[in-house]
Amino acid sequence: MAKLRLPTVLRPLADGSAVVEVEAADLAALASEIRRRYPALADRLYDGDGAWRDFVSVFVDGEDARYLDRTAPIRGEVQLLPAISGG
Amino acid sequence: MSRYHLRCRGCHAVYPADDKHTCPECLGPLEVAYTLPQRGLRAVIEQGPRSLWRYAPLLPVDDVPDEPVGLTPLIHAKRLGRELGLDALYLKNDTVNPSFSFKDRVVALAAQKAKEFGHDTLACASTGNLAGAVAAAAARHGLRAVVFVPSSIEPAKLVAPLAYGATLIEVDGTYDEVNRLVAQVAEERRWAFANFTLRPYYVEGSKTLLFEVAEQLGWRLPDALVIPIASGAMYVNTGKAARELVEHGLVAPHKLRIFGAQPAGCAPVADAFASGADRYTPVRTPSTIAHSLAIGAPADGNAALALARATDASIVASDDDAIRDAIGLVARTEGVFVEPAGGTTVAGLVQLARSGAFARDAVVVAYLTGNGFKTPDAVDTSTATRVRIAPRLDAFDAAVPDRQPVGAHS
Repeated sequence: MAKLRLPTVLRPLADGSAVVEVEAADLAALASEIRRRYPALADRLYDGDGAWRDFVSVFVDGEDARYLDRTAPIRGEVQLLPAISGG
Repeated sequence: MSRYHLRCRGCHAVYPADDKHTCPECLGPLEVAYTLPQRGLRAVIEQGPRSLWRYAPLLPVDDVPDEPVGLTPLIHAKRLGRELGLDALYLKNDTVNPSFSFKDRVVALAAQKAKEFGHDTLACASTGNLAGAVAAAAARHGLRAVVFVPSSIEPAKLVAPLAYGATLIEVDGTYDEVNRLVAQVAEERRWAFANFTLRPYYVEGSKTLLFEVAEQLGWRLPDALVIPIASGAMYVNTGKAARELVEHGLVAPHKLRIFGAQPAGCAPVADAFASGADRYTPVRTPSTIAHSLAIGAPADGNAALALARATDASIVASDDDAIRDAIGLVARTEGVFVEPAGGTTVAGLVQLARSGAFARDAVVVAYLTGNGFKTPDAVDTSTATRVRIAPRLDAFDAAVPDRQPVGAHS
């Protein structure tokens, strides 16, 4: 069981939860799980090809998902954030 | 009707100008848009305060603080220009802001909005200069400051926030890791995060550099700008500033080429420009003396790429040796001591000038954004003249022989 941590702006699409428990061993399974349980959230996160939308930042156990492929294992937590600004 | 509102850069949805930074529809970043062009602004600006607040009609604030930020010198760099074959080279010397970097401009906007929105704490993620600027502005405004920095930045940049009374959070990680941590903290704490939750307003402060340059040139746009790129926010908002100057009738339309400069040890945008890519590839582990430009995943990197191409310009990278040489060059020719970010800009300027990017009579302006006294370790003094002597005249004469006798001087 992994934890999916959501930013404030996305919480209304997951019944108001800040953290959701998900049965997902990798990013591909996570996408299926989100699609099944929270379709509106899935539409906000993924484009028609199943890729992350432009303004979503995703970290898997602290690793930027841009450096990972979809079969990379999820050990503990996936953090979603709006487009990282800063600098 | 409000003079300004927020608009999503991704889906263009429009929102009231409140304490919000992310589009709830597409998660895109929000930016400030202005409702109507204003006319007759030149006279208003010219009679305004001797600070960036003279441009308040072009900024998203409801009140104007009395604060000595901005309106920094525009130097006609004749000696450096001669070395580079440029007759109209100018340096925008932003090293002389209150906390000695251009970050005082963006923080001026953020601190004012923090007060307007009723916050009592101003926070940021910083590569160093922003931490100092946030801490100094918080002190001026009577706010609490909490600043997050990589623990690896220059010692002077760690000391300054403490002197201004900030809480300093040193994070063992890269700037991008600090950034991510602060993005998480910003979800949990109801503070004003200058470069996150207040970002739509914060970035507007970057525009004031070009507003000042245009006014200092006699209300006209230069032919070319050379600007350092870290997150790309200043670069992208310089394009916005140019559009607004024209829309408000403050300057005549003019082709402005906006060049970017990055350090080779962290050059995701310059690398993407060189390869013809539309999107940059993040740099996971930056390695450069230009710590203040060491952002491996710049928030506005892709927008910066598009702007460089749209303005018929380019984004170049320079290695650390070239950056050190450039710090020395601008110090020796113009008497301005810059930190490595400024060295990166001058190194980029040198590279561009020597490759023939500019006509000899082109009006070229380079932004010097941070002060070298913060980063003395970056200076190469190996070839400098330096002697140590006993406190006696004969020792001095022996060390520095003068071939001209006293009285021969005119």
